[in-house]
Amino acid sequence: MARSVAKTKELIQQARQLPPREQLALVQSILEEFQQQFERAEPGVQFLDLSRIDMAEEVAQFTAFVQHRGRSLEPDEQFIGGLTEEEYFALTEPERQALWDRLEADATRALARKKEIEVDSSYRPAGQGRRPKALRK
Amino acid sequence: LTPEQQRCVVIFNRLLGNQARIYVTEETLAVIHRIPSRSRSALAAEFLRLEKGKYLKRWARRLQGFGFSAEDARVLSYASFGLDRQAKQLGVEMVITADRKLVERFLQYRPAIARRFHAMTVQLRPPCHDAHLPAIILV
Repeated sequence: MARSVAKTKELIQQARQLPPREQLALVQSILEEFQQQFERAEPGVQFLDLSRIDMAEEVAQFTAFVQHRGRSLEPDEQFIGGLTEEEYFALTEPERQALWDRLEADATRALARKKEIEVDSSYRPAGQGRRPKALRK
Repeated sequence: LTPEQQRCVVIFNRLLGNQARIYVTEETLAVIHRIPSRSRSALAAEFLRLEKGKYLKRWARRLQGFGFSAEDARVLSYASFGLDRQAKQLGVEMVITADRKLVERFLQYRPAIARRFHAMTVQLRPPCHDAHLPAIILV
């Protein structure tokens, strides 16, 4: 740290000897470098790594939650899209995706004309003043 | 469970454990509400509605200019201009998605998206002036 501070002071001394226009160009190039470093350090995307996670424990926790809050369906009871649970889980992945796409498209059409809500000064951006929480246990 | 389903389980456990507010778009909530009530009750009770705030459609249109589909652009735009009317909150902190194409496109154009977003929001009044792009988690 001390070394980088000394190096920075040295660079500032050197920069002071440059003509104003070159000083400005130097500052701009340093700012661009900081921006690039920031973007590399904050890619904005996190990837969930399952390799260190005890999946059995996770599934048990999730199952306990669902069983506590929900209830199993009767075999002939409708699950989604007019299908029973058994019929739904018998679909192939593309068929399931097509079903969800159709339902989503229906909902989008139904809500397309809904007007946007005015945002008055009582609203605050989510997480204002702090970084997003990491998804840790 | 498939790896994707496993990741969803882990994410959901973490969100519940952190007492995070879990939002879904109005469109997704409308789909969920078409599921008979007894089967949706376990998870849907945890979801909060994110409504369309002003400028949401405008930002979604601009995102489509980066090649996002209409649906992906809408989801990303909800993250910045969606409203929780009860909590008086604008946007959300992060988007959780299994959509690799969305994430790859977001990463590819992120600096340009950030510049476009700044150019738009800098002209708006607070709090939309202070709206932000979300972090994204790929499950």
